[in-house]
Amino acid sequence: MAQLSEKAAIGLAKVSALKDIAVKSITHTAFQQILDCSRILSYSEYSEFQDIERSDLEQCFLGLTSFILEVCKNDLSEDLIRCYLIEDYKWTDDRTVSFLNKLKNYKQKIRARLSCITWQHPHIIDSSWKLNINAQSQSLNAPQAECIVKLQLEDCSEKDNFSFRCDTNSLQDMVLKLKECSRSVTNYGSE
Amino acid sequence: MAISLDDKHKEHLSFLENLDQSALEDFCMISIEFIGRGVNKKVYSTAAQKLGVDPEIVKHAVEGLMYLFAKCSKYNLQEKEFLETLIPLNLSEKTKEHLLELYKSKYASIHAQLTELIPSIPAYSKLEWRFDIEIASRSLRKQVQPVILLKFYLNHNGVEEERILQTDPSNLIRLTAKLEEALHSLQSSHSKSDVAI
Repeated sequence: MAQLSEKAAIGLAKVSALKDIAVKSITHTAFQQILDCSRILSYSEYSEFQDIERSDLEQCFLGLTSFILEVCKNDLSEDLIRCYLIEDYKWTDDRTVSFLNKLKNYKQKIRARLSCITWQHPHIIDSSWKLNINAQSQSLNAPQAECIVKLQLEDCSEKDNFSFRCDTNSLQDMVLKLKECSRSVTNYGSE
Repeated sequence: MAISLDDKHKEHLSFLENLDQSALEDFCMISIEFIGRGVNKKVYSTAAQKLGVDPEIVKHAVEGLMYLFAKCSKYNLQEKEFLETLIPLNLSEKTKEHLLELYKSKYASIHAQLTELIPSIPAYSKLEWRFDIEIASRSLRKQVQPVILLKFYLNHNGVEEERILQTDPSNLIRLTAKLEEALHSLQSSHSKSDVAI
C-alpha cells in the first residue's frame, strides 16, 4: 500500500482518540464525501463533533478519506486493513470491524469512481445508421445507395458525434473487421 | 438539351458584344476565377475604369458569365447544347466560338469546383482494431478493464483523416450487430434498385 502523507497518518491515528459516536459519524461522512465531492462539508452540523478541536477534526477527516481512497485504489484485503488499523493506527477491534463493514458497502462504488479518473479515447456507447440514395449530384450519373453511420460518443453533444458514409464494399469491410474483433474479445472471455 | 436564360441575364451578357477579343478573354477568365474563389468587387471598378463604363455593367457581365459557365457545367452541356444556349444572346460567331473554346477548356475545373460545393460527409476508408485489457492506472490498481480501440481511416474531400475511438465488449457486440443489419439492408436495397433501373 502506498504510504499516507505524514499529516494523513497522524489524522488516522488521532481517530482512535475520538468517542465512538464521533468515529461512527466521521467515518460515514468520509465515505459520503468521497462519493459526492460536490457536497459541501460543514462540521458545525454535527453535534457529536462539538467538543473536538477543529484542526484535529480536519486532520482526522483527511486521514480517514486518504486511507479509504488508498484501500480502494489498491484493493487491499480485509486482513491487511485490519492489520494497518489495529497495529499501526491503534484502532480498537470493534471500530475496525465497523469500518470494514462500511467499506464492504461502498468499495465497489468508490472503485467505479476511481476508474473514471483516467484519460481515454472517445467512447462509443451507441450507433445508428440510415441508407441514402444519392439521387443527383454533379459527379454521379446513376443513383447510388450509401449508408451513413453515426457513432454516439459518451459525454459528447449531438454535433460532436462521429459520422461517416460507406458504400457496400466499405461497410462490408468494416463489418468483417468488427466481427473479427468481437470474436477475439468473446474467445478471450471464454478462455 | 440547351438551357434557357432569362431576359435580364441575356441583357447582362449582351454587353460582351461590345468587348474586343482581349477584354472578352479577361472577362471570361475573371468569371471562372470568381466561381472558385468568390467575387472580388475591386476588379469591377478597375475594369470599368479601363473600359470607361459603369462598374455595375462590368459586374453584371462578369456575374452573367459566371452563371452561364456554372449552369452549363452543372448540366454537363455538350458543345452543341452550349452553342444552342448562346443563340438567344445574339452574339457574333467569333464571340460564341471564343466562349465555347473557353467552356471546353475550363469545364473540368468548374465541374470540380462545383463538386466541392456538395455538402459531404467523410467516407470510410479502412478500420484497424486492437483489444487491450487495462490492469492498473494511477488512480486504480488491480482492475481488469477490457478496452477495444478502433482506428477509423476516413477520406474527406480527398484529405485522409484518422480518428481513434474506444468501446467496451458489450457495445462492440451491439455495434457489430447493428452494422451487419445495415449491410443486409444496403445489399437488399442494391438488388431492389437494380431491378428498378
